[in-house]
Amino acid sequence: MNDKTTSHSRTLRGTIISSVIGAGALITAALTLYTVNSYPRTDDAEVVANIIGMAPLIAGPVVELPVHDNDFVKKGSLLYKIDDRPYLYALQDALAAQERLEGEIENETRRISSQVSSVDVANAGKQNALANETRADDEIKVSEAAIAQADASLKQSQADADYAVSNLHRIEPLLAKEFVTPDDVQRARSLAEAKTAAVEQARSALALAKGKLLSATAQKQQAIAQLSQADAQVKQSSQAVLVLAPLIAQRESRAAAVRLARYNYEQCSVVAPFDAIVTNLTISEGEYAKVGQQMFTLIDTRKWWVLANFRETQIKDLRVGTPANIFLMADLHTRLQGYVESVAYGVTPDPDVVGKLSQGLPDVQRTLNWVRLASRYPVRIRISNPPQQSLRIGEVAIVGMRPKS
Amino acid sequence: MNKNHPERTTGTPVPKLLTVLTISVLVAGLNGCSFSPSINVLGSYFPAWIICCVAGIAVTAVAHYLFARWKLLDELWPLPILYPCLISFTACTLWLVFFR
Repeated sequence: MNDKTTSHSRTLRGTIISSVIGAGALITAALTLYTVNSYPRTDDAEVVANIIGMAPLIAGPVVELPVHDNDFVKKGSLLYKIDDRPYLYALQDALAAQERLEGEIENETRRISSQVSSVDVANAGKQNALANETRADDEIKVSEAAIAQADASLKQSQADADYAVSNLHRIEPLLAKEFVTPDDVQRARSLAEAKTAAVEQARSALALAKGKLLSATAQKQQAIAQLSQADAQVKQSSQAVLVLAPLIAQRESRAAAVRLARYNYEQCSVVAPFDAIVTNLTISEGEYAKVGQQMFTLIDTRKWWVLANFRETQIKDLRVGTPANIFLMADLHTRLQGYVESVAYGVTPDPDVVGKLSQGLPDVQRTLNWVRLASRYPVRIRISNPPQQSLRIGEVAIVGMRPKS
Repeated sequence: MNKNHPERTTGTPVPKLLTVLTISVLVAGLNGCSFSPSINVLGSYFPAWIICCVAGIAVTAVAHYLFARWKLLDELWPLPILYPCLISFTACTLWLVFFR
């Protein structure tokens, strides 16, 4: 029966159909394997975006809160406002302190210029003393000349007197013999007396000139003393001149205080740093905002990614810029476009394989799996055409790479 | 009626069927249509390859019925390998055409 059926059944037609089916199965299986290897895909992907926690830089009660949970906010729009009055007052205080410092600087400037004037006065005194000294010098010279002159006139009058006296003594004996008249003797006597008196006068003139020299010398010593006093005064007054440096140095500190106060004041109104979605907002006006304590979260809607986990064997085919098709579980009919932006370089090692990462000695497992599973790494795929306001962080996505077109 | 005309009709339907299939697959492939790789069936998401396998099994079942009807079953060989091959062929073709 077998022989019959086989001889009967194995026709050319049957063989062709069987061959076509077998060959088709082989070809399509090969094509499928090639496609899956060249363009890896995964169901293990989630939509992500960057998030920031909005925390105030200053403390105070919230007075305005115009946003609501899940609101879409534009860049620059007001998110919340903290009571700004204390910070306004602090700013005004800082400004007043700055102005006060300017006033102090003005006052000090005037005081310094008055001190500079007193230095000038002392300098003038010094000049005066110098002039006095010069004058005393001159007077000494004059007195010395007068002494010399008086000395000379004393000598001359002494000589004159000597001559007159000797002349008197010569002609006096001649009177008895009447060689001279009594009048001649009388004239000679009075001349001798006059000359003798002139000597006395010249002597006293010399003494007077000497006295003048002494006085001039004393004046010079006084002038020298005055000069040294004036010098000391100049030094003292110039050292007493104050400097503005300590006040000038305070200027920058006061300006910085003003800037800080203004910064704090400006931080009372917080605006959105980018187009974002408000999320996890569970407070109302009146909430006391503490410095650094997160009040709500903003989702950055400018960039959206899909984090897709790919096996390490598939990653070699993922280059930066490889285009990808992205389907969201929530809307499988819409195909989003994306491209590989980066591939992660690390995941936590499997403790069942390498053991726990701990201090001390490494904890290595003694058992070993025959079949090893490939590690998977998150691949960051940037969504090129994110639909506005419909993406959500954590949405399940399906990602498949596609050929570059 | 079927008994009367088997010898005349057996020549035509198989090439006709193959032609139709080839053309439709080519047209679909040229369209480059690409559905989402996950199908929602009453709220549950099934991967595309499961759908393709199910479709392959269904097509193979229909093919078996047609082979039986056209009395081709005796001519095809080896059946235990041929049917898995047909399932794989259909499933892979569907996947390549619709979900690549």
